[in-house]
Amino acid sequence: MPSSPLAFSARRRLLLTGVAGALAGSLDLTFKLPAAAASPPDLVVYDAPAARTLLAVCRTLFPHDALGDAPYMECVRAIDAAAADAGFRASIDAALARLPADFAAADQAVRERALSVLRDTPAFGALRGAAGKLYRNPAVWPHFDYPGPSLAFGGWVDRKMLDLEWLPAETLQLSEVTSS
Amino acid sequence: MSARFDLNDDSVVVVIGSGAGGGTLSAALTAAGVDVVCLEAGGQVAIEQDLPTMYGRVKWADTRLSEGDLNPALPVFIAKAVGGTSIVWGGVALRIQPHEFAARTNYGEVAGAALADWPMSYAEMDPWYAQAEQRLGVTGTHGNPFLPDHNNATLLKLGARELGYTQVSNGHMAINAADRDGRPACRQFGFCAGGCVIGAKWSSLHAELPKARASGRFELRERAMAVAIEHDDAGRASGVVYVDADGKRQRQRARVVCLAANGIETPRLLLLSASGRFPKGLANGSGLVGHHYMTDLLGRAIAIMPGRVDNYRGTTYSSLVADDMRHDPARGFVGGYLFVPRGIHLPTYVNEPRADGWGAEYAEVMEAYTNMASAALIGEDLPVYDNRITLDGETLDQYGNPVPVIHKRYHDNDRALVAHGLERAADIYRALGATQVFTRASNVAIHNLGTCRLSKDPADGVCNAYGATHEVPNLFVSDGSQFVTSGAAPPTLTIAALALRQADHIVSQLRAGTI
Ligand SMILES: Cc1cc2nc3c(=O)[nH]c(=O)nc-3n(C[C@H](O)[C@H](O)[C@H](O)COP(=O)(O)OP(=O)(O)OC[C@H]3O[C@@H](n4cnc5c(N)ncnc54)[C@H](O)[C@@H]3O)c2cc1C
Ligand code: SF4
Repeated sequence: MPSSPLAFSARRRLLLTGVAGALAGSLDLTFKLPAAAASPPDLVVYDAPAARTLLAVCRTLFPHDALGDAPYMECVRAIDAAAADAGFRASIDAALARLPADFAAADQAVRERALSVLRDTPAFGALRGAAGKLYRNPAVWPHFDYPGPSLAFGGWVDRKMLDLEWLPAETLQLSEVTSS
Repeated sequence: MSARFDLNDDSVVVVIGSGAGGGTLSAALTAAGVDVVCLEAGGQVAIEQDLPTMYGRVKWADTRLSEGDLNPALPVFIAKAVGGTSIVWGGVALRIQPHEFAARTNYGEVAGAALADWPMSYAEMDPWYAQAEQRLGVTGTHGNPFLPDHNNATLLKLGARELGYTQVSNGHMAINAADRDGRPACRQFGFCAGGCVIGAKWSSLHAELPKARASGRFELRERAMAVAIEHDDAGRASGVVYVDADGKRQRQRARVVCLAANGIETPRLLLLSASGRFPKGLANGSGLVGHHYMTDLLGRAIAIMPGRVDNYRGTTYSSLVADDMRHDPARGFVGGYLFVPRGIHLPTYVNEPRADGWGAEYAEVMEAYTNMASAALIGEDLPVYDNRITLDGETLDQYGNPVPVIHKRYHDNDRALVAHGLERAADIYRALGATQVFTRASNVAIHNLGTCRLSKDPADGVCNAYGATHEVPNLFVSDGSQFVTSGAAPPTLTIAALALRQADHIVSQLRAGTI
């Protein structure tokens, strides 16, 4: 019996190693957002250099090279809106001040190292939360092949829900006895 | 045909909470000719297929504090809305097993746990379970067809079979597989956890409150937050004070009061209702109101498979792997657990493999969204005396009352059970060639149980076998707070069965004039 089963962090970190290698090649990364979608930021709190850093932070947290800047800028806007609260803004500013001046220009590995210094700050959780809203944006769904709500076409009931063609045939045969 | 009752009408039964327990109880009481006023803290919510905004609209956002192992930011996810948490529940509708009703007898003494037997046997509950299954239309019971298969469910079942599991089925779901009870068959939209747009999934909102309303004997007051239960000189519940939608305090008189506010607010309201006669809280002579808080143990497994799964298609949950529900101390713990497949949509996937994942490697896991299979583990959680709901000494809520503090620490048995189950879940997916498996225990409670537990002896619990409090005979607890042990199954079918049984009991007591 493992000794500390509710804390899997060590093991999870191990499992993550090598994900990149295992998955590259099996994915279709060709979808791109139209370049025109990258509109200039209309931010209230942050100036252009701060916005550039925040954009780089969001891209570093959840980097998908095939996606343009536009959906990430939506995340920056969410941070900007929350920063109307002075306390929130102060914690973000303190975090950003700890990043190197050339953060936005550095490559992913360097930016990850810089960000990991902040990992235990509340600001990091807030930034991760805002950047994670990327996946709520319908504009990015096609990239992940996620169709979203199915109400418009009446649900999946009359469509294919069972199409595990990649499974070995002898495994699939077992599925005939699934209702009991 | 909504009824309207006078605030001074003391012939009504007041039900606090319109969720799974309160809705079912209200419908059963009104069907038997009893007048019911239901006080619901939340408002009516329109249901849409959009998980992030739906959660925001229904979630219980009043302040509460957490002490122990639960997520301090969101220790508990429950709903504050007409229909309660039954709007967003998954629909897995299973019975507590016979041996679990006598957990103390069958498991023996477990150090650090306050195990007890239920004051009634499984045999006594069996007909009420049957009624509840018929009422909720549970698939695979009483002639109701099973739901169809989809990839995510099929993978869990096939993997389990590869490992030699035998109790593998399409599961028992309170979701219509065919039109019935005035509600349509499931269209497999896949957004069950945001609420069912068409009402194919059983909920208080779609199935029970409409029945209660149609009786002409039911008044639902929404955005009415109960803040105290009052009693008369004889120590009988006499009415409920609530804050109405306009922020005004009102008092509804009552012949009987039933408390179905979910396992945190129910004990909190009893504690808030302390009086000269009940100094430790209403019906709290035992001192056990709020204690023995159980959440069920929850875990998740996320597996990246070699091919597409597209697990956004179809019901969020469905199907069941039940072999490990047995009690088998040879595994190193008492009690058992089960697996159900769990669909995940892209907008919420980001927090699933890891709650704190980020960076290039994590983005690759996100890129693998379509190839992701997922299952949930649900397991028996032991009652521990110190796991409890208390009132905070400083912080007040928007109604001016002390906020609840949720104290929850996992017992060693809990940790052992979850570890065992998550290893098995990982094996299931590896048997089918998973390239990556992420497993973790959940620290957000969605089931809140045991905080006013049933007992034969008034010193061992808060309520008798029908949920009437030992000290106040016309005050009932009508939700998961009654549970003596959690069992491996999720709680809602049992909550509904207990509500039907309690309604029958209340009706006969009212007729006999004993309450
Ligand atoms: C995401 C999710 C999935 C789930 N899936 C399953 C599943 O598959 N199977 C299963 O068995 N269970 C499941 N559950 C659990 C299920 O939702 C609950 O067991 C059930 O809803 C509990 O019923 P209840 O009546 O006790 O509480 P609720 O349904 O929460 O209703 C309580 C109501 O009381 C109201 N209230 C609270 N305090 C007051 C007050 N002071 N005054 C007035 N009103 C008040 C609340 O606003 C609420 O509407 C799930 C839960 C969640 C969150
Ligand atoms: S999958 Fe079925 S039960 Fe779930 S929300 Fe859709 S129609 Fe309702």
